[in-house]
Amino acid sequence: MAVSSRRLQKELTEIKTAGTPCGITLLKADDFQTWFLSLEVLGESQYKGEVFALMFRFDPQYPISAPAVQFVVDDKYKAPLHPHVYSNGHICASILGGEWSPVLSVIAVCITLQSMLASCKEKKRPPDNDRYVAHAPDNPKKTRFVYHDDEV
Amino acid sequence: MSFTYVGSINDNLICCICRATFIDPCTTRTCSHTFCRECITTALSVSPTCPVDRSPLTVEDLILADPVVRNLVNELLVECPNKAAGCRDTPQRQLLDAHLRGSCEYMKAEDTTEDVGSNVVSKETLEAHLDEGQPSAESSAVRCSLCQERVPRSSLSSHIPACQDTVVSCTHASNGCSWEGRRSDLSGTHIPSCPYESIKGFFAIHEQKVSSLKAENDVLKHKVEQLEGLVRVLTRESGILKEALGPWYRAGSSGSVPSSSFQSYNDQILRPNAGYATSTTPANARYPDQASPFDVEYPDQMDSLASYFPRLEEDEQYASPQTSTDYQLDRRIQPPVLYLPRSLHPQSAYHVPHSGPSSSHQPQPPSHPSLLPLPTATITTSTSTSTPTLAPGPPPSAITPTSPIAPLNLSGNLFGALTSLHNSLTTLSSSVDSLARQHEVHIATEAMRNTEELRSLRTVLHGLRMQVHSIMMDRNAQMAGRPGGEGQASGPEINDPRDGPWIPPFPIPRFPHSSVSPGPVTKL
Repeated sequence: MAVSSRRLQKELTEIKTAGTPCGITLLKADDFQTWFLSLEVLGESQYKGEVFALMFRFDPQYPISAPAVQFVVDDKYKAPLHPHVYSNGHICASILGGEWSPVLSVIAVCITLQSMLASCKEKKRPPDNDRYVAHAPDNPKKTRFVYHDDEV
Repeated sequence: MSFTYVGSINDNLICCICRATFIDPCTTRTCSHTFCRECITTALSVSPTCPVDRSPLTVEDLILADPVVRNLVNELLVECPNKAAGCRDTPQRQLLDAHLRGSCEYMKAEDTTEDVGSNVVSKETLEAHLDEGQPSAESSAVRCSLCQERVPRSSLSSHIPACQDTVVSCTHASNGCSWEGRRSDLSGTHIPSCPYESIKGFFAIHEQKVSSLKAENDVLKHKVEQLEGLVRVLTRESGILKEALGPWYRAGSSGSVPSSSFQSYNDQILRPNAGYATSTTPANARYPDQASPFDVEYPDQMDSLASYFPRLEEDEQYASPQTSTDYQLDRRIQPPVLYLPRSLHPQSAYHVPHSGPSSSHQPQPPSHPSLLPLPTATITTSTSTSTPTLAPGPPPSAITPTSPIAPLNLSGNLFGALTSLHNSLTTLSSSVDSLARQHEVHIATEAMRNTEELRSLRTVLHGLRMQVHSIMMDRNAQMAGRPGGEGQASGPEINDPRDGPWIPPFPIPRFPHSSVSPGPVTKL
């Protein structure tokens, strides 16, 4: 078994036995390439009542290399209105890029994104949203994000 | 290899990268986090930071995990991979290999002629089999290919070790005997004649010794790694210390263990290790092979530090080091050169200007020719103003003989330099004290003189006043026909000349009255 499969197997077992945190549920995890989880921000927040879906794509180097994470944008789900989330679902988050650590897991990423949404004060798109979406690659890992806004 | 563990595993024994129990655990020297060796090596090849706390980390900072942790992990019970074949054993993880090689009865048997080719029972292929997860257990009877016996397949695996026709090698093959043959021949013909048989006692003893040596080796290896780590840390620290001490490092090491030999020993031991970071060393002939940024700055630092303090010789005390004749235009940032004002120097007769120093200081016209530049402007101005006024007077009294400021001795040790600095400070403070005293004296004498002058002036003035008054009296007397002229002592008191604006007792010429009386008694 490849390293990534073994590790994902472990994570999946853990999710199945210990469950997911509040607001996060496992939608689909049939293989070790792509997983779908749903995300909801609980409590009082700008996103009260909205449900989002996250798509995780793993490569054989997981967990050494970060998964490709983005919000699902289709008929059922939309990308949340957040200064770090583009309208095509791509996310600008340091832990998905330079600050990824093999210690992190799928659940950890979900929790981080949950808190990122919960702490948002103003619902708006990133300033370069239109420009980015027009030329964005399919895989957000191919984008060179510049992380400079820490307060949002 | 993946194991199936018996029972639940303590969370502390789980690697956070692969989320499995540690395999060959290593701990980071810098932040004490433990990972599987393979996991952390792969992680470091991508990003040289610790996955847990993102502190900088390299492969060299990994050491073997604590033996306690290793033992805990090695002694965990795992299920035999042949469990599906029926083996119910749960040996310790470290003993699993031995179990599979020796005591596991359900090792995959040599296949029969019926199907699947003949697999030699070897560890590698067994693993390959297991990874595919395909053990097979059937109970149909098969024929052993060698002795043509009929055996149920499930007991085939137990039959094989006992089959008399199996080709085996000598029991002493591990010691060098190269004989191979059927098992029946082994006990019958070979063993009595095997030369290794007779010395098997020696082999056993030898084996014991070797294994104990190996164990000792492991312990020593571990110790050496720890010591290496310690040495690295110490070298790093001493490098930092060397840098911190600056130009005093060389003086400090002169009395201690010869550093050259230590350094070369260091190199011998640690150079073979890849990526050993050399620490910086001072510009010293004993370390010719180690380049360091410190080398370049060292001579500059010496000069710039030494220029803070003038030389010790008498004449040169006021002569600057070569560059400071034009010190304002010097390219290097010249620290203010500290001199004592001439008037404070024991040898100075201030009115005798030194020809040498004054010529060297011609570019500074505003300063007094007998006074030399000081960093504090106030001192220069006050002494320069005081000296001209004192010029006609007596020569400055109470010149405190002060010792000249000693230059910074960089060849001594740090403590000596600090002591000499302290002494210089004491000297400076005492000279400042004496300067203050002189000031006081000057000011006091001036004040006294002024007061005296003032008093004499007052006396004179009073005398004049008296004269004027008497003249006026006379006039009045003449004018008014002598009613009450002199001698009249009573009358309205006029202001004491000492207080406030003195109203002059100008007699307003009023005929019937007399003028004001003569001024009050002047008290001196």
